[in-house]
Amino acid sequence: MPPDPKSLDPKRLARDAKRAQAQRPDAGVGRETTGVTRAVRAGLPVIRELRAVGVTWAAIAEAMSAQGVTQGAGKPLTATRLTAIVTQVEAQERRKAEREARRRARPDLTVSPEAISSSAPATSLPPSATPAPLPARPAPPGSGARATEEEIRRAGLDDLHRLLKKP
Amino acid sequence: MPRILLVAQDKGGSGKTVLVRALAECLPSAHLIEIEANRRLIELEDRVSFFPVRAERGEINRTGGAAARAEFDGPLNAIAGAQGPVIVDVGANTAGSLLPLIGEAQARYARRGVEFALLVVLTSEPGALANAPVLLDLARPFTAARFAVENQIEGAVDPKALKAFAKDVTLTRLEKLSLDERANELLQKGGLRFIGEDLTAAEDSLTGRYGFAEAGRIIEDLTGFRSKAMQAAGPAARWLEG
Repeated sequence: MPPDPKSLDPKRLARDAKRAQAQRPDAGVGRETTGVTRAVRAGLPVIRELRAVGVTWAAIAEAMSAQGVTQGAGKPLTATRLTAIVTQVEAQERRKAEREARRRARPDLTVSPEAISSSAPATSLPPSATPAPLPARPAPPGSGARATEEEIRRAGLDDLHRLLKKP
Repeated sequence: MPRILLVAQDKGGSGKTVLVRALAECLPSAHLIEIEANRRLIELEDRVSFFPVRAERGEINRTGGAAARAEFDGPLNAIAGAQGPVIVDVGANTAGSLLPLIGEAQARYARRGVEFALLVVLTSEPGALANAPVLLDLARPFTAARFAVENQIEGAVDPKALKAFAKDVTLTRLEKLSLDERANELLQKGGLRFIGEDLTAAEDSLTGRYGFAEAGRIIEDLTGFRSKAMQAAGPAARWLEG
């Protein structure tokens, strides 16, 4: 029998919801599907610093693989896969920042701008070096798992590189 | 003196990106700027600076046009900061807006020593054929050289239409090639870069996957296609090299 809505404890609801929110890995920026994505998200500031001083994607991918960040069944992380994930994570950050900006602009919300800005992702790059914002396009229902054009292209390029490897 | 080659055609599917890739093959030292809705030149990795074309009609209306005016700030800044030859892949439906902005800033670019040229791709498709002279005219005031490549992907362009181009436009041709189906698939996946760098060395892998005869066709077709595309891009690449 479903509980009586009148008996809902608002304090308990708030407490449980906050606890559930805190236990989610990074709510608001989409579902984490692989350990590689989590590792890239955590290491993004360092990755950007390395790129800024000229370290190649291949070298970064090799260094991450050495720390156990692999793709597939234990295969070393490739430069192509790494750049694809970095692009994906950066797009998520942009969308998150845009959502927060829109939220700040809403007069009907009482959340302070400071509270919102404190949750923005940290970056060690100057504003000019951060990715350009993308338009906010609401995803159609059920489209969360669809690959982007760039992901499809990168997957094709990965296929090609595997094919060209010596047998 | 930085030289900037703008590669443009506002009609999609004209083979513009193939020409951009061919230019990149001709001139390995050149940097690339890609202005597109999505990254395409992924195989060129760090050589490419990508700028998404992102202004939507709703955003343009909401900002009274400011979103559209600011849309090209990124690539315009990148061009101003160029240190050497740069190939600019101007995405479909973009050149008609971008070229006038470059024209307006021409004097300021000139003070920085930046020189421009335009390469337009034309096909027999009416939209592409009509757009090519429009873009060439737009670029005339600020370009040191103008090039056109007749891509015969949709068949040869009517010779009368070609004659209409001004004499100061250097015209080359990319013949239609019938590629082996598998070769075309690999071309779509990897562009031209792997053909020059990896293909011959991968003959054993291709033979193991597709058999001796088809592997030979794949290598021959792809090598031939890359060579033809580089020939078509040759005059523009030589200008870019300076």
